Amino acid sequence: MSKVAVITDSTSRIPEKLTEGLPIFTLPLIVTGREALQGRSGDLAG
Amino acid sequence: MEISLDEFYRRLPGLREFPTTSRPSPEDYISLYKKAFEQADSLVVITISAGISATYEGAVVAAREFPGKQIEVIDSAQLGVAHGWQVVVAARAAKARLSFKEVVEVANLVKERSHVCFMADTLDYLYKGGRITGVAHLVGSMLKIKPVVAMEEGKLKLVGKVLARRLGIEEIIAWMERVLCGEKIAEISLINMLASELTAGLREAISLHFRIPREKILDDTASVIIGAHCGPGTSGPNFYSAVPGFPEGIVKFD
Repeated sequence: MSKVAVITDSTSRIPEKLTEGLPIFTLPLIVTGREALQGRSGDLAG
Repeated sequence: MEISLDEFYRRLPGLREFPTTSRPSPEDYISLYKKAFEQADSLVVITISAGISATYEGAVVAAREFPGKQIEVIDSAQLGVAHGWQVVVAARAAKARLSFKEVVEVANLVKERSHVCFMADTLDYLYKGGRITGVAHLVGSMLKIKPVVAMEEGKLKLVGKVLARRLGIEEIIAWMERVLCGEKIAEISLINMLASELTAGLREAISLHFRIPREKILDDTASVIIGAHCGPGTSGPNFYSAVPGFPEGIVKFD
């Protein structure tokens, strides 16, 4: 158990191998647009 | 509906409506804080720049719901991997069992040294996003100007306009020199938003200029915000400079 955890809203752009095993909790941003991009997706996090 | 980033970038040219990001609500943060507190005693929250998103406010409001708990909310003043580096280095510090206060200090040190700059293929997306005027767009488009954009003081700013890719690479190298102020690059990645040639050119130039092995320059796929404001064909570096006196193992530095 880590004493400190890190929270963020967009780690999905960080190369995955860098975040492996680190105490990071992520909340994705949501991209909205009439023609395309509704829904919550880690893949589209800011 | 979920789509891949590549698909998002391919769709961008045909979109009539400018895509925007919707911030997580304070309730989203409260839920995540509760989950994190099951595994940790204290939290360091690092958000996308408050200058371009209201996410930071949501994180602060949510923290008030945990009186007596240690939660530090930091505005990264960055986006994409320039924001991500702050998260990664702070998390490395946390994993190495540094104290809450030390993790906050590490995060702030990297924040001061995190940067992103990129060149787009066209001014069209900056215009659609309201970053330049119609006149600037019209004149720039006639001249086929390529904008160079950077995050400065928490906001996206137009820092250069060039007529050729080669000149854009030179402009980015010069900008990197300015913001580094003589410090060495600790870690770096390159945005590649359907811009293979430009990315390869930047990798070569950065590797030669800053004496970084090519394989140490990682790839990333850009953030949606950068994508929406600059469009396909965009590339540029996300990096931070080495912090003197960092605890060994917290920052990778060759």
